[in-house]
Amino acid sequence: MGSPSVRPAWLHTLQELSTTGTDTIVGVAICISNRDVPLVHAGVLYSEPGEAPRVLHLAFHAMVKDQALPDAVVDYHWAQLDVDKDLAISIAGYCRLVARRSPKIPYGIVYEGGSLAGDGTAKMSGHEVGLTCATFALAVLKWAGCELLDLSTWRARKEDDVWHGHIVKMLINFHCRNPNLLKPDHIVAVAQERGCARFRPEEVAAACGLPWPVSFAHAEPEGMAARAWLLAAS
Amino acid sequence: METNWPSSYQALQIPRMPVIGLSPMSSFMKPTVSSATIDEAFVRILAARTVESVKQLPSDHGVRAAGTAQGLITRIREQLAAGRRARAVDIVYDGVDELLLSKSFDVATIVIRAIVQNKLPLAILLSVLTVSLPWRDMLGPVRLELVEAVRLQALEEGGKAKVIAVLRGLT
Repeated sequence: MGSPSVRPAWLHTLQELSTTGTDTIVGVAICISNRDVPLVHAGVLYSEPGEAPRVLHLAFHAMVKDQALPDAVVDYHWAQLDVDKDLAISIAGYCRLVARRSPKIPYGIVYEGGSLAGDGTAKMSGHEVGLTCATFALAVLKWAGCELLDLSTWRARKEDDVWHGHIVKMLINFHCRNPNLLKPDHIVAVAQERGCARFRPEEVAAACGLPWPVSFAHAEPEGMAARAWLLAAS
Repeated sequence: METNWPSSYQALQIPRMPVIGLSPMSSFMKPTVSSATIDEAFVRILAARTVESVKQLPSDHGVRAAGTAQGLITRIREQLAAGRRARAVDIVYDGVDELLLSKSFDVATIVIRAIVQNKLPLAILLSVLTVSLPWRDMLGPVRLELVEAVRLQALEEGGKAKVIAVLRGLT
């Protein structure tokens, strides 16, 4: 048995999120959403003084959600985005705006720097067909001027194949339940993204506290440490 | 005073002058402009046009836009005075976003200019800067005025480091 996992210093528990101060806090929240695969999920965390912290996230295909964290059924941890306090207020406001719009953003894995368009829909670039939970967080923060990752340094990883296969199965199940929301052509497009560079949720969270844009070489080990700890703790 | 203007200009007397709001960079260097009251801004909004002909004098449309700006700023100030900072930010996002989504760029320009001239908190200015980012090409000069206002206010509040921290990626 290896040594027990240690929680990375940048990864906080919800109990460590103070709502009694005067500053707005923004960051990226992550959780284990499925231990079996396992799946890590991410969203943009924002917390106003005196209010319950919230997370804006792409739950899955066409499902942007904005939830109060105390109501979440999974155990979220979070990393604080290193931004000016005035900018944090503005980013939190933007998260609420996106939540009010509730855009239908398609699911897709390839990410080449897309953001949200003026009307709240996903503004794809290059070969993108949609966003993941992690790239949705990147896209939201990109609108606010925060480009967390150096996308050009990301590499495809063989171990993401299992995850990719699981996502395609989830999309097929989603189509069976919601044929009008998800067309087979889109599932085929996502299936064809197998082998692409994937931006993992835990890497997006890890980038919050590092000098951005963060390279793959810096984000991957931090992300792995966080993932190991979340799995051990869940 | 005798002039050689065409007759269509004679009713104006002070035409073709870029008034406050259309000479942004020099205007923003003067602290007296940034501390304008809502009413002062209202008057300036009506005047802030380069008048090329009688037809381009502030119209009913311009008056309505100025009213929109005044209403928005009043609501923002009310929320700020009540300590509801997040609600003030929401008013900015909803108000400006609605104008931009409906492609009412003329009105948005007047609203943004009024926000700039009313010495609102930096977070409010940053919210306007954020929500208008996808529309920067359509907004043109007024967004540059906004950037300059943010730069000056950030410089005053936190020096160059704050300017870099808040403007990175938003210009």
